[in-house]
Amino acid sequence: MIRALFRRLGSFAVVLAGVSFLTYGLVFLTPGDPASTILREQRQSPPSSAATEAFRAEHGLDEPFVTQYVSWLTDAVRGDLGTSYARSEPVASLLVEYLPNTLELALAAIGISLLLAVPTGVVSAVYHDTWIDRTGQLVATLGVSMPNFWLGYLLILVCSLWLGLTPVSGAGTIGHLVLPAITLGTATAAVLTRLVRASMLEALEAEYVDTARSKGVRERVVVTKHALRNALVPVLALVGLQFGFVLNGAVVVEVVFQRPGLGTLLVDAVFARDVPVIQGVVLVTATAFVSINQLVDLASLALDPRLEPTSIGGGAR
Amino acid sequence: MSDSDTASDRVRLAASRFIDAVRERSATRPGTRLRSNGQVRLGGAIVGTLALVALVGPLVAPYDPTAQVLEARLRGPTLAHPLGTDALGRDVATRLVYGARVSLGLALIATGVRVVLGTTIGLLAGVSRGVVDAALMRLVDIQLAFPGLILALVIAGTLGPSLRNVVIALSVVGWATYARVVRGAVLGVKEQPFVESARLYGTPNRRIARRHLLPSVVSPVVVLATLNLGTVILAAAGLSFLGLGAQPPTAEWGTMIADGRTYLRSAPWLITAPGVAIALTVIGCNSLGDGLRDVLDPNHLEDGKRRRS
Amino acid sequence: MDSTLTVEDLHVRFQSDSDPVYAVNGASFELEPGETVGLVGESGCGKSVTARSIVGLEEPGEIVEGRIEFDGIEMTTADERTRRRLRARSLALVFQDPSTALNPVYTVGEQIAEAIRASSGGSRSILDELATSMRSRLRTRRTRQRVLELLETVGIPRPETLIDAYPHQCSGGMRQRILLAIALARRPAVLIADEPTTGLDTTTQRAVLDRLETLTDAAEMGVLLISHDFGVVAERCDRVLVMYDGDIVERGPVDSIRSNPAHPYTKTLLGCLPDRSDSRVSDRSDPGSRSPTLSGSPSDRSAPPSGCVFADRCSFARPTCRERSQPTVVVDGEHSSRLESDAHTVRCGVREAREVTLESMATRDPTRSRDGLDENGSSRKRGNGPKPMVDGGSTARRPGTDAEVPETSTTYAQVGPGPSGERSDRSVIELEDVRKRFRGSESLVDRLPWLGTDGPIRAVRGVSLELSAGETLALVGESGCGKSTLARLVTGLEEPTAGTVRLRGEAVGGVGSRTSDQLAEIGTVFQNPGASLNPKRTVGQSIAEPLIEAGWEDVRRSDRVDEVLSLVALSPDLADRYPRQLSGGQRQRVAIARALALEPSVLVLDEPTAALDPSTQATILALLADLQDRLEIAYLFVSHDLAVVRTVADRVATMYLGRFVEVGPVDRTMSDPTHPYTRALLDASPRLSASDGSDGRRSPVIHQTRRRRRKGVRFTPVARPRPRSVLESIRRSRRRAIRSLGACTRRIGTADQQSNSERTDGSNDRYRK
Repeated sequence: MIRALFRRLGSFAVVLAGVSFLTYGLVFLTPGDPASTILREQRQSPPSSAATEAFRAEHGLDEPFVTQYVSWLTDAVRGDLGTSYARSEPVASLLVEYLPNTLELALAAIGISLLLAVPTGVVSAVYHDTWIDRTGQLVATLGVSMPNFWLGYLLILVCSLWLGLTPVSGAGTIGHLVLPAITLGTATAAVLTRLVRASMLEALEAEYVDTARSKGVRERVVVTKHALRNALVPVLALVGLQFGFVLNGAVVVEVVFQRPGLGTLLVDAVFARDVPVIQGVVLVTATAFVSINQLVDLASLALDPRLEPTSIGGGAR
Repeated sequence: MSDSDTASDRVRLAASRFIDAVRERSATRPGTRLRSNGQVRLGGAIVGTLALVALVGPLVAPYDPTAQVLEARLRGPTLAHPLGTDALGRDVATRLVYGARVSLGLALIATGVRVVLGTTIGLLAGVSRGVVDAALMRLVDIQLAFPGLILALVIAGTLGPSLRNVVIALSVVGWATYARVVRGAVLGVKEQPFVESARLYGTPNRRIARRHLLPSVVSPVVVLATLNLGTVILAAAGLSFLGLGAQPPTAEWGTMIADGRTYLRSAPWLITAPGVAIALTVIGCNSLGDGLRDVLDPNHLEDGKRRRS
Repeated sequence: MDSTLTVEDLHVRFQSDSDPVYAVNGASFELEPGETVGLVGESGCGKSVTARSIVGLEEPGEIVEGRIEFDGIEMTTADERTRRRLRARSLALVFQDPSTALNPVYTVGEQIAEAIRASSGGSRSILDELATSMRSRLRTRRTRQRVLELLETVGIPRPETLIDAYPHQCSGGMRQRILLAIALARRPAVLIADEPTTGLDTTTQRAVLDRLETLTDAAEMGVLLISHDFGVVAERCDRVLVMYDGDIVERGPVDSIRSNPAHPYTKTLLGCLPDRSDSRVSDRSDPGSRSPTLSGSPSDRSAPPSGCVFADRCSFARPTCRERSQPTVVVDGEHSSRLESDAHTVRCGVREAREVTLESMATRDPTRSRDGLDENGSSRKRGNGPKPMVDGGSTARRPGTDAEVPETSTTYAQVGPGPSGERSDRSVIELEDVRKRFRGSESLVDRLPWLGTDGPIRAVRGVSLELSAGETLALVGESGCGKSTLARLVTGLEEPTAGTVRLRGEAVGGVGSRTSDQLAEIGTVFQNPGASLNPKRTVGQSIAEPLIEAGWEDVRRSDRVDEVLSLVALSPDLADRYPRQLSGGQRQRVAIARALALEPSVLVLDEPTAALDPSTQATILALLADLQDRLEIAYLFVSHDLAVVRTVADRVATMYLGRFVEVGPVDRTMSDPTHPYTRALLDASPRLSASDGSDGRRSPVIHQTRRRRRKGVRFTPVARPRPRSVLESIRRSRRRAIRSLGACTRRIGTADQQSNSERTDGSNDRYRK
């Protein structure tokens, strides 16, 4: 158990190191000299060479790449992600300001999708190959196939503009959260529904389910206690991966609903070539994503005893 | 120690065993099963039609996709403009047809690069094990640690908004899944007796890879790539929607939705048509991919390893 | 209360994608309280479906006709609630596969407790039930006590250690016992055991069956014991039902059926049993005693059969057999006067078929009766006289080739190494104190000294052996004893951690460091014929691969492919087929052909027949014997099946925990083993003859043997090859015996178990990640 934990931590550290390196290196993809490109973008006119030099010196861009990376990383570990070029504010405080909105949205989306997916998937599997199943499948297919920004506008059109139920844009209240969360959760719900259905089908075919039936256990207990519990193990793993998908989607959805959040912050920064902000947002989202998947892995351990490497009276391999 | 895999692999119900035995006796060829699979047919039809539209459509389209007719702005659907016109008086239907070319072409190229890159790396990792394998798989882990669209957004943005850069960004972020799948398949096949036999009569590694390993990874890769086409189309549309992909006046579905959103209330058809087009394409790809998977890999269970970017 | 279980004219149908499949076609039988009835038949004959139908779990099949009556209740029409209650209280079914029949996420105790709760019939709410299952330990003292008792009853030594364990932490035998405990938890009146021991090794198998017998005897329980293994059934049952293709073709008291089988199918089934008695060597070398083999495969049952289901594979079949359903005939004999349910009856209207004896049936020419069985369609009739048997109906004889040995093999003798005197004196392969350790884990972290607790696994711990040209050395032992690793060390797939492997006197390393000549010396055949051929390449391409690597030119190559195909009695036409178009036996022949392609002097055979049907197994063994005769190849034969070993080996090496504990000539080792472990292995394999079944010598269970193992009794002998002439003569006679015997040997399904454990390792890997 402890070994497993160490192994996990080891690869976690390696991945985080790689992530930070790539994140920092991304800026240097900019064609030409980063400093002059950034300045041109900011001022909308070609900068003088003196201004470029000054910019370089100010942001340490004249130093060798490795030195820059190391100093950025050491600062980042201390919580200092630099200062935004465009807004002259510390990146860290921008993140603190915008992160909660995005988290709120992501969690709401995942919550909605689980609420939709688990019952739908279970019912589809139990009524396998009937019209109920087929309808569920069809809706799920639609769900994964719609571009979420489009779905967002459709929802705005119907719920906000035509019916006037919800505010069009902004953040802060539950009303502001509903449409974006549904928009973001739909695709995830569809993916999860398919997985719940597939793994329920698998579980329902397993022989242990027949063992349970042969004991004379009621069918409802068989489905929930025996099949669903087993079927949830892969579902949990996918929820972790879907978190990344939700973060992706949040970028677009925040733009659609003009919600202040990491997504809108990132898009603005990308267009303004606000390098420190880009680096900060990417680093934070990637770290969050990796950490959540680590947590999900640990949670799977709790859900499926087979994952714990212990054995009684048998060769432990 | 654990039997989770065996639970799915081993003899299951007496019944399914029974039917399987009967089926095996009348062994059908994959080709027949492909054609008789409903999902494959549906998906094939959708994707085929779209491909045809993308290839031939521009030749027969009545309008120029970029010609602005300002007196005919924001017209609703009419006989002359079956899907209406946009804010600059351009025919939406024509732009949709031209957009198909952009979206499909872009998705094909990006997926192709992902396949080649991912398969090579996965094969290399699976064959070599040891340090090379560990290093490559850490690389895969690192790539997968980034939420895909965010990374693509940053790469495309840093390189500068253009279609070409979107293709580059989407190729760079998606290969890791292939590498994982291919490595898994290779590891599964590598221990098979037929590969061990090949080692026993002295087949060099390179030839083992080409003769035994590569053919075994073809079906999972084909399935993954088909499913991936849809994902790439969605992602590309998303990037274009954000303003990073196709630049005006190029007709592209994501850009069309972005352009149309201003007139959401007054001209809802502007976003409806491209949205439906995207959804339909993705449905086609997904259905084709699911069908292929059912045919080529009947034991598959979506195991959460698949990732979207 | 009459708790007789009555099944009458049961028909079960499955709706597959295209056509319905009729799994059970009119089975009828009764099961009285306290009696044990055996139901035997090939896999897929409808045994399991019958069992499941009885307890009402026939889905996805449906009962289209017939009655199942128990306790005055008609099961086929009863509502789900009634059926459920019957399952919960009086009808228990033990499932076939202990590795999948237990829910992996609940503790053993909870799963047994659930059965107790269900049988006591309290109506708990779902939430209550779910909440109970969330706790990992059993809280209620009374239930816990009862579960512990049950575990003890089924023979689990220290139940307290197991009650809170999860199924994956228990061995296969333990799991089977747990399933038994679940079944017994409700104190059932009828226990149906569906292949209860198939996945287990022989020692565990016997222990579980013994326990089952004791328990059901004590409780006056009716037992329906289902098995594909007549030996198991014969030893444990009062009456036997023989099932073929969904119908019961013969029934009667076990002794009567064993001594006087009437249905042609029963005869083949009995003929397929290897002789397991201790002193029959003389019988076997007598070419006159041979048993019939079964060819062809059961019908695909896409339509309900009209006539006799066995007609297509029956050598006595007449045209009317297929048209009319067969009458039930009482078999003459001492038992005919008994009650009707006890009578020995058979469903076969052909007098000649009923009365023919096992022996005479074997000598009868098994003329093909159905055209469709011949896959290459070339020769439907085989000549008279003994010949190597061919499975799947595809004979290798091309039209016009009357000679028993195809001409091509003469060429082989000229090209190949041939039996040259001076070489056969020497040993081909020598192992000297070979050891092999595996790392428990590949992970970097585990190799760190301060964290890595995964000790190395010592698979082979110092083994020395010599293999002389032309002899067969069998390696036997339980799965996991290191015999496969040893075989892989010989082939070079693994390199020894210490010690040397010598090939013709030269020390060799792994595959990579061997010269092409050295590689050509050893051919290898693996257990699973399905996996040893690349599914994407044709048979011809697969066989040609070693030839390509050895640098043969095109023309010579395709000639050689044809040649080796004929050598293994397959038609050269098969070269263009893909493996999936072949039967299991044919695939194994192809694998053998490929191993022979480079004219090796040694074949390493790793459980070559374990994954095959008994009848196919026999034909492959006959082929191997025949090949050895003709080509003078040495065999290193790895097997867990002593019956198989007895028929093929010259010498036997018993392996236990990575060491040889006994090496000796096969006759001596099998009749008078010196090492207790070998004796335990021998005792564990079930016998057929009546004299053996009744004696009090029950097997010592392996665990006990292990515990008692004294330090002194450890053998690491280097075996001396016997003088050539003696060896030769023994082998010749044995060969003859085998070929004529056609001894279809039975599989003691450890094959499944092994592939299972391999896969388990894979899944571990996945979970670790």
